[in-house]
Amino acid sequence: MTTRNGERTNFGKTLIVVIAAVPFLYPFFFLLTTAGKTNAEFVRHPSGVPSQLTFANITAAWRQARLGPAMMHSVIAVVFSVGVTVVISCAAGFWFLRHQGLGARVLRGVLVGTMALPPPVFIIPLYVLLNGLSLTDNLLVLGLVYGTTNSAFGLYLMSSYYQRGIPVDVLEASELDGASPLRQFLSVVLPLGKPAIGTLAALSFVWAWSDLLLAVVLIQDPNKRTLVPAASMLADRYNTNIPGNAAAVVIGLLPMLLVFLAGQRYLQRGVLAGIGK
Amino acid sequence: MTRATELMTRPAASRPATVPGANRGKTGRLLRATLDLPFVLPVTALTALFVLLPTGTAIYYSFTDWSPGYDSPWIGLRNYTQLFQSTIFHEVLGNQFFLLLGLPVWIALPLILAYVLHERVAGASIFRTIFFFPATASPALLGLLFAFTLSPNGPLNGTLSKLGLGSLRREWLSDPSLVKPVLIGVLTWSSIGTGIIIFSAGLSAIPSELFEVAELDGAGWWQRLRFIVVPGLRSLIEMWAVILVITVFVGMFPWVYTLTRGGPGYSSRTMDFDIYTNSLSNSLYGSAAAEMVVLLVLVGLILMIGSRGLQGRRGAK
Repeated sequence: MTTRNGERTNFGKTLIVVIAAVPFLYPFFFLLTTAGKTNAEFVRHPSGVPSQLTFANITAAWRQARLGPAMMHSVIAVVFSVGVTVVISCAAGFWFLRHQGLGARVLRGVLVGTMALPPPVFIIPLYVLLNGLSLTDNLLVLGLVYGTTNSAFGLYLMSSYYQRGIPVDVLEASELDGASPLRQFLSVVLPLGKPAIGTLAALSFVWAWSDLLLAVVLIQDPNKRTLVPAASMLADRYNTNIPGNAAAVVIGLLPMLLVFLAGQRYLQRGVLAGIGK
Repeated sequence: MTRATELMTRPAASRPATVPGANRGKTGRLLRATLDLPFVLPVTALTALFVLLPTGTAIYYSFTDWSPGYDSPWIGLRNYTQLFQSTIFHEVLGNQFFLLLGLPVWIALPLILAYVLHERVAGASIFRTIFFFPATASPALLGLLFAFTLSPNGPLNGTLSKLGLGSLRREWLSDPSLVKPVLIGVLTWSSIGTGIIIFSAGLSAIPSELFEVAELDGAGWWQRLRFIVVPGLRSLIEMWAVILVITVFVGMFPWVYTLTRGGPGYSSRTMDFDIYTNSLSNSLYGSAAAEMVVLLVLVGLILMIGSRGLQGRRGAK
């Protein structure tokens, strides 16, 4: 057996990696088998495969525990936030390509620097502020907040991508052709930035979908909860119904798994971009 | 052929290297800057409103008896003195530093695995995928998963019994002496994938001849790890350490919320969870604000120390 590079496989090392992978797969095996078990069977046999596969937990979580609507809320807030992040990051990246004076560099530093401001520091005052304006319990506002917090990284990513990938004279040439800034942005900059936009979209989706802190603080109306907080609170309330909790986690993780499988390359690139590679 | 494509195909030397419009003089530039503003305004306004303003608010109200919706009289440093005298806060800080004991593991494990995966392992990219998924999935959902995996009658204890290791059964999440090590373990699990991706990228930048020559010279696996991999990845290791330390201080909320709610007692409460509970559950907004500022200062210090370490070494090279 050989690896992709044609070297001979080292079986000892492969074995080490296989053993190391077990703790990473086992919890997911447990998750799926538990979600497919009746509670009675779980109490008797907490580990192992279900004797009879049931989807009752999934449908119960979806209907009675109302994860269905929560999923809808997540889709609204998260998709909106990804749109916001991509649009404002690309637009600002273009601006920082056209303006590179001292003022522009300071502004870029401040905006990118907000990446270092952790949500636990500003989320409570933000809640108080938005509550005063009756803007809490609002999915679009939640989306706008995700869109903003993710755009610090987005701006960094897009503007460094543009600065490396778009020669200034391409822009100049299209300006000489009489293209307005908006025209240049739409027909030159956006198409050239597509790979970075993929990375940004995948990462900002995952970040917004994953979030618990902003969601529990900014959405306190139980009828408007997004998926992750809804699942977290369900697991708390019905703590004894473990198969029900497992079903809630399955429902929450499924969209993440799909995005992961489709965009893993982008996500890896995003991680590396984050450390300046 | 448009002028744009003409310019792109022209040899580089003849291209003017100026920023578009830079030759229009001062008024031209000012006009251009104004017309361009719509591109940068949204992100600036939103960041100012949703991030910078609330951060400033936190700093200001940390010096007041903050009660949202009512008068918040100035009380100087009283929130801070109360915070630093609070035994709960001492315990919370202690928890934070206890969790940092996980650092060597969080760094060494992905480093070693990335190095093992680097050389002659079948299906290396499949394994990287397996390790990476938990790093991208929602910490809150994974926290829920572990909350029942580790429950007293859950599958971990069940499996231990099946294997004849029943004496190792534990109350993983409600034993005060176990809960923090368990959190360290869960963080190892969830962070390893990102570490592997970072270190794998670093390893592929090290020339493979270096490893081959070392092997010919009789350097064993361990020696190559010590004398080639670790020095070669030093700056990435430092960067990863900074990311991990910051995660311990500001990213624990979803884990604590779903796994322990800070308990038993306060034995697993972290600063981000404490800020949340103190303000929204206990209405102690003033002291929560002081804690936000302390957290902000801590993050600033970590970043300063981290970037100084990186720059210092770069300068020495």
